[in-house]
This record gives sequence, C-alpha cells and structure tokens, in this order.
Amino acid sequence: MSPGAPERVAGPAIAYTARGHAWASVLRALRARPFSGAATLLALGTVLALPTLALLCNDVLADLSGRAGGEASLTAYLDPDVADLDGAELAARIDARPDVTGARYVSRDEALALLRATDELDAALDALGQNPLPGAVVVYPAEVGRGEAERLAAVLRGGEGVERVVYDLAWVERLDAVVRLARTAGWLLAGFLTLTALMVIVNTVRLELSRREPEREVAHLLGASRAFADRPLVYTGLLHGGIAGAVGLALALGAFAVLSAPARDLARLWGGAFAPTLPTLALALVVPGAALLGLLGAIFALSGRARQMSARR
Amino acid sequence: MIRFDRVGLEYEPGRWALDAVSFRIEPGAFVFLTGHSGAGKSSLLRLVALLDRPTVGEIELGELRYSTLSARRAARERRRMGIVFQDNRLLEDRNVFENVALPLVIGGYRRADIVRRVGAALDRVGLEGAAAQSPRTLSGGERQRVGIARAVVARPHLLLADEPTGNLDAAMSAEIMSLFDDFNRAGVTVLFATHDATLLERFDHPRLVLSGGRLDRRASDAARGSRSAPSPGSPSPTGASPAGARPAPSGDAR
Repeated sequence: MSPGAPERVAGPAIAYTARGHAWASVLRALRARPFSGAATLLALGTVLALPTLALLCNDVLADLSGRAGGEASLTAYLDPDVADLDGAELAARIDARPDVTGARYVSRDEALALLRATDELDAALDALGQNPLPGAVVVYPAEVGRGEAERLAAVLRGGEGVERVVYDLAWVERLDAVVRLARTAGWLLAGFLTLTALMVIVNTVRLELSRREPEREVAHLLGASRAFADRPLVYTGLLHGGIAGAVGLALALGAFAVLSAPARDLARLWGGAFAPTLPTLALALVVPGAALLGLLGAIFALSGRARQMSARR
Repeated sequence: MIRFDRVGLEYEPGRWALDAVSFRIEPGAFVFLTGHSGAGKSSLLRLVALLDRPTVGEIELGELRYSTLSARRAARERRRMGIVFQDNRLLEDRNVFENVALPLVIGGYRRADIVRRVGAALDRVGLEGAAAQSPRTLSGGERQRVGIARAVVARPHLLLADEPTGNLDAAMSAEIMSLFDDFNRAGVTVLFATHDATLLERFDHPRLVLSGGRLDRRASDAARGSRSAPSPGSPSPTGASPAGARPAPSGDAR
C-alpha cells in the first residue's frame, strides 16, 4: 500500500459519523490557530473566574455576617437587691425562649471582676469601698434586627427585678448592611460578567462562522443539512464554554487560596476560625454551566446568522 | 430526465437572470450549456442543483417537481448529484482524501465504504497516490481532478459542471473533458457549462445556448445540426444520448 493510500490516510471510524466529523473539524480549527484559541479561552476563563469566585466568597460573607449577628446582645440590668439565684433563674427562663440563642446571668461579683480587669478603673473601684455594679442578664437574640431587638427588650423590661435594658445593635446592622451590599454587588458583577462571557462566546462563534463560510457553502452545495453545517459551530460554543469554565474554576480556586490567608487573619480578629465550607455542588456545576453558556452563545450566533440569511433571500 | 418549462428567475425586481427557458435533457445525455459571461449559465445550473427556486415556471428532475420540494428534500436530492466548479472549491485545511470523502460523510456512509469509494474515485481521476496530500501542493489540473473525484464519489446520476476548465490550459482541459466523457459513458447525465470555443468545437455534444437569460433556440438548434467530428485521439463522445438536449418551444412565460 502506498503512503498516500486511502486506508492509511483515513482516520478512525468515529471521524466519519456526523458528530465525530464535527468534533474533528472543531479540533482542527483549534489546532490551526493555537495562540488565538488559547488567548480567547484564557480571556473567557478569566471572565468566568469572577462569578465563580463570587460563588465561593458568598459563603464566607454569609459566615461573617452570621458571626457578627452572633455577637449582638441585649443586657438587662437587675435591681441590686435581686439575689444571684433569682438572677440565674431569670436567665434560665429567657434562655428557654425560641427567639434567643442564649442568655446568661452575670452576677455583681463577676461584673466587678470584669471591670477590675481594666487597669485604669482598679484604683477607683478600691476607693468606692463597695461593689457599685448591679447583676445583669446578657441575652443573645436569634434574629439581628431593630424590630426583633425592640420586641425582646420589651419582654425583658417586664421581667421581675429588671431595672433597665440596654442594647446597641447599630454596628451589627451596619455590618450586616455592608455585607448585604457586598453580596448584592458581587452577584450583580457576576451576572454582568456571565453576560460578558456569553457575548464573547457569541462573538467567537460568529468569527468562526465567517471563517467557515467557504466550508459551509461547499457542504450546502454537496447536499448537507443545516444541522450538519451548524454542528461544528455548536460544538465550538460548547467546547469554548466548557474549557473556559474549567479555566475559570481553576483561577477562582487559586484566587480563593490566595485570599484565605488574609481571611484567616480577619477571622482571628473576629474571635473565630476561618473554616469555610466549599459549595461542592455549585462548584461541580461550574463547568457544565459554562458549557451550557457556550451552547447558548452558539445558538444565538447561529440564529442571528439564519435571520440574516433569510432577510437576504 | 431534466425538464424546464418556461422557467424564469428574477434576481431583483424587474431583472431576470433567466427568462422563459424551456428545454428537456434525456437521461444519460452529455449537454453543453454555453453562452457569454452573464448569459445565465450559472443561474441555470443553480436551479438544476436545487440551490435556487425559479420565480416562475416549473422544473422537473425525473419524478420530482421542484415547486413541491422542501429545503430538506432538496438537500437530500442534491446528494445524488455531482457538482464541479471552475474554482474547484476544495477545503484547504483538509487533505485530498478528506475533501473527496466529504459528500460520503454528509451522506452518512460507513468508514469502510468511504475508504473504498474514495480510493476508487481517486483512481478514476489518476490521483490514487495523492490521498494524504494537501490541495495546496497540487497543480491546477490536479486540483480540478480532486474536485471531479469529489463530485463522482457518491456515484451521482447527474453531473453538473460550471466552467470546470475555465482556469486550465488546452491540454489539461482536454484531459478533464475526457474524464467527463468517461463518466457519461458509464451512464451519468452531464450538464457542462462552458464558453470555451475550442472545447465546443472539439467535442460533439448537444448544446443549450443562453443569451441574455433566454434560450437561443436557433443557436441551440444550429449547434445540434453542425457538430464537428472529434479530433483524432480525443475521447469518443458516443456516450451522449441520441435525444440529448431538446430546446422546447417556449411560450409566454408570464
């Protein structure tokens, strides 16, 4: 058999099925322009990395907001005549309520010890001769919000021996608002970038469509169906989306790893540990989702082309 | 059998590429389609190839009436035709084998059949060793032969050629013509568009002469009546059906 004999030249059987032929055509096009192909995929991957990173950071922000909420508390100061036993009993009753996550009694002695821990006040307390501090019940509400806090404060005021209720949720609310703003901005940005990725894919497929025009014309002349001519472009979109999704996922995980160190420091300042749970299911859907985005881009580009062609006829 | 019945093709309002064209080509005929540039040869070939629809009139191809064909059916029917172009329209990023195999891939043939048929087609056009070559490495004549192999690989019943010798020298043109004659002898109907006077003189086949989008019946008839003998050594044109092409009386198309 000569080197140019058909049997030797022919590819595997799968290359002669309609789908195999289309995939071979897509890979041939990628091989023919490796640099521009890689640049497009990297650009798409970078664009998709940001929504993926937003997905990862969403849980961290939720965790931060929750942690801040956990720090919020109301303090019910008791009459100095209330005995420790009564104060502890009141705390136990409040702790049993469904709208609080916890309540604990701080006795007068405990309060004094805490105050003495502040060096500047130690001498002043000695000069007073007796403990001026009342006992208190510190309550941690289940929900952080002004409405919830006011409702709970009203309940506490009605408690036996409660003299005054103090709460300051402003900073928690502010932080919660900032976190909510950051999350909303993150999702909006993610939405815009996903749209950008879609448009990049539409444009890539349109460029590929122009490049393939002679081939499509020949296929049409030889009796190819529209599906046969369109299939390589649909696969181009699918492949670009899928690869860009994988690149984006890798970049996002890399960026997340880089951000983990400062996040750990921040968590330490917050009095906790940085142990985010990665949204595994959502991350597993990134590549198929991006491939679907590519498919949509290809369909948009091809339907635009079909409209152009029918308008020309 | 191809039958045109008062066919008109309007390419923009008031401008007709073809006007009231009527003729009939019998199965197995070899017919030259001739006329000056812009006479309507390519438009007529596109109609036969089901690439365009006539604005008026009816075309029949065997049992098929074009006016009732869906686009999908038209594409399927086109797979049973072979088309050869002046510029051969080879895909430069594929090798010769892949170019010739394309109609078979479109037709859904299996690999074994594709290998066998492509081998046979390349053999017929004298390019049996060129399967792995890129079209870029081939001469003009070789490229055209690849184009012909692609057109015949699915064993079409009708071969349409749009000035396939337009870019070739006289010797190469004769070689290409001999290939078409061979296929015609094997029973393939050939409609061969050309305005190459040397070819028309040298090969004795019925002609359809187009002029300004209309069939020049007198010229067509005259050509049928004054065929020159083929030159010595040239392929015999005996494959043409005795009926050949018959320009039909054309009435008022519109």
